[in-house]
Parts: sequence; structure tokens; C-alpha cells
Amino acid sequence: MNETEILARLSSVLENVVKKPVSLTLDTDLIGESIIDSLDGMVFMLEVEQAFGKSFPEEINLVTEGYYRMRTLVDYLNQ
Amino acid sequence: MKIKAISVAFPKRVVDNGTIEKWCGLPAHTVAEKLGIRSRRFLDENETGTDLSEQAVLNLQKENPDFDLSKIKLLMVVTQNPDFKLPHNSALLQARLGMPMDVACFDVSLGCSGYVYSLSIAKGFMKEAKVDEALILTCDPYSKCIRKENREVAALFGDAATATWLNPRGFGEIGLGDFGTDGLGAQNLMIREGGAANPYRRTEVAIPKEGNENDSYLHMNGRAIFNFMMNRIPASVATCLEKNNVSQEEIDLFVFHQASKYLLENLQSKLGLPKEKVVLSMEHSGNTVSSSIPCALKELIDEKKISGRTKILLSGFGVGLSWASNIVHFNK
Repeated sequence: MNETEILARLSSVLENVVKKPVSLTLDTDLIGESIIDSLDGMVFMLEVEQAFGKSFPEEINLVTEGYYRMRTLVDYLNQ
Repeated sequence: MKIKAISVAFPKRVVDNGTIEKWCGLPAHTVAEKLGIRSRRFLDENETGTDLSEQAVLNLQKENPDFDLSKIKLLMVVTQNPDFKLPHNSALLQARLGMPMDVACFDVSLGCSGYVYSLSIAKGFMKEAKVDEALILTCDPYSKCIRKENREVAALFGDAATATWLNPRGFGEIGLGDFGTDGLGAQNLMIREGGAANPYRRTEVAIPKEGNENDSYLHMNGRAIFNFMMNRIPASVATCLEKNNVSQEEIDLFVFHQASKYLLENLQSKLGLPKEKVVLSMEHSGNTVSSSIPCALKELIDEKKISGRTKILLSGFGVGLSWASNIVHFNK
């Protein structure tokens, strides 16, 4: 999958979680731009794991490690 | 050995999602939609788990005129938040309830898997010690150990106590349980302070200590707990069904620990269960730890959803990380 396809899929996952249309770019910061709160944020990442069949390490803090920034998330999913 | 009756008690204080939003900023509608919780009950500051447990027993007496506390020879309390570091809550309750001294009393230190464990412990103890009447109490008041600003846990938990009366003439026969533990995940649901490894400070004098102020409160790694449940519980359910020689389709209702609506919906989907067979019962109580399964059973009994022959699979999971599943064959 290329970056555009990953972003499109992430948008779809996110829309299902927050129940409203969202437009994601590589510069989007879900927490910094208050697009998502912490509970939805956790649900979003769990849904991303299922949608992409890829797990995030449990011991890391996804917020402080920057995974809610789309560039970081897309890079991780693209690995 | 069979379940004869169940009673519950909730604290008077209602904490709604608006209050939670003020405490930690989690939007009320998100809590209701994702966690399936609209309100929960918290003990007041001057109330403890034994107060609520006593109330659950008084409710049991009120609802069951044939219940005779003096005949109880085993009193087990499932809690990890006792009134005191020692003695055990069950001893305090034996005295408060005015029970005779020829009663075996002990606490079971387990969280959300505790009720399912306690059914098997009671069944074994009753057989071994030739005890006819037993009482299992659950009460783990997490309101006492959560930091209200912590979004991971503030909205999730509520306080409740339950009393389950067991004897040979009951209507819920306890099957063969499946049990498991993954201690490598223990740090994902933990209160770091208060044990021998990191005791609470005992004086007002400042003592340098490691860790931080949050160590005295509940820490939960939500993602790790979710993954643990999704990985372990389907296998435990399968083993439990096999042990009891029952197929998944023969189970009438599945009562999982009421962790959250999101988790139970995912579990239902992973197990391929019909939605109507999975009991959701946390809307006005929240996740009540070891009380969540007996609270759900009580609701089913009161709503007459347990009638005739009903097979119910129970599965509890949490602190430890620990899990337990069993089947109760009801015949009412």
C-alpha cells in the first residue's frame, strides 16, 4: 500500500470511530488538532491494528511516541 | 453445589458522565457510546467495602426469608481493596453480621476473574469440609484507588457489592472451570504502592521515595488489557466448553466480566456469538470488577431471563493478568 492508500484507509477507520467526516493528510496531528480525545484515540488505534493486521508494541505510549501524527503512523504501517 | 440466590447492593452516590467529563475531560457522549456506561455508583469517603458488603447480605436476607445466616459455614470475600491491609474483610464481616464463630472465613485476592474462581473454590471447599451452606461476597471499590484525572480509568469503574448464597438445594449448578494466568502482563493493571515492595509512607515527614504520586493509584494500560482479553478469552471459552462437554450453540447466555461495551462487542464478534446471547449490564453501574458477573446474573434473574433450564457461560478476566470461565446450569 502506498501512503495515499494508507491515509484513505485510516480516514475510513477514523470516521467509523468519531462518527463524522474527517480529512487526513500526512501533516494531521489527531491529538494536537483535537480531532480525537483519549478514549476515541485508544479505540482508533485498536481498530487500526485490526484493519491493518499489525500490532503496536504494548509497552510504548502511543501519544508521547507521536503515533497520532499521521506521518509517524503511516511510516509505521508502511514498514 | 448450587447457587441458591444472589443479591446486590450499590452505593447511594451516583456519578454521571457529566461529572466524569469535569474530572478528566472525557466527553460524556463518548463514554456512553464506547464504554456503554451512562452512570456509576461510588462509595462516599466515609464508606468502605464492608459497609456495602453488609448491605448486600441484608438485601439477601430481605429477598430470601428462608436464608439463615447462622447456618453459613463458609464466608468468602473476593476483594483486592479491603478495609484494612489486615485483617481480612471476611473476618470483619463475620463479626458485623453477628455470625457464629464456627464459620470458615477468608478473602480471595483476585480482581475481575474473582467471582468465577470463587465459585469453584467454594464448591471444592464445601465438598472437602462437608459444608452445606456458603456465602460468597464480592466488593472491590475501585473508587478508592482511581485518580479522577486519569482518563484511562476514571470513567470505567463503579462500586458494587454482591452476595451469592450456595447450598445443595439451589437452582444453579456450578460446572467445571477453566483457569489461567499470565503474570508477565501484571504491570498492565497495577497499583504500585501499598505492598511490601513499595509501602505507603507512614509519617508526615517528607521521605524521599522513588516513583511518583500516581503510583498509589490504579494504573491501566488499556490497549494491553484489550489485547490480552481478545487473545485469551476465546481460548478459555473453548476449553471450558470442552471440559463441560457442551457446544457453544448449547449455551443460552454468555455473561462476560462487564469490562466495557466496546470490548464485549469485539469479543462477541471474535467468538461469532449472536448479539442477543451476550449480556451487557454496565449502563448504570460501570465496570464493578469482581461484582460485575453476579450483578449481571442478578439482573437476568430479576428480569426472568433465567427460567426453566438455562446454560450460562461465565468468564471473568483482569488483574494478574488472570482469567476464569465456567458454566452454570440453571434449572428454575
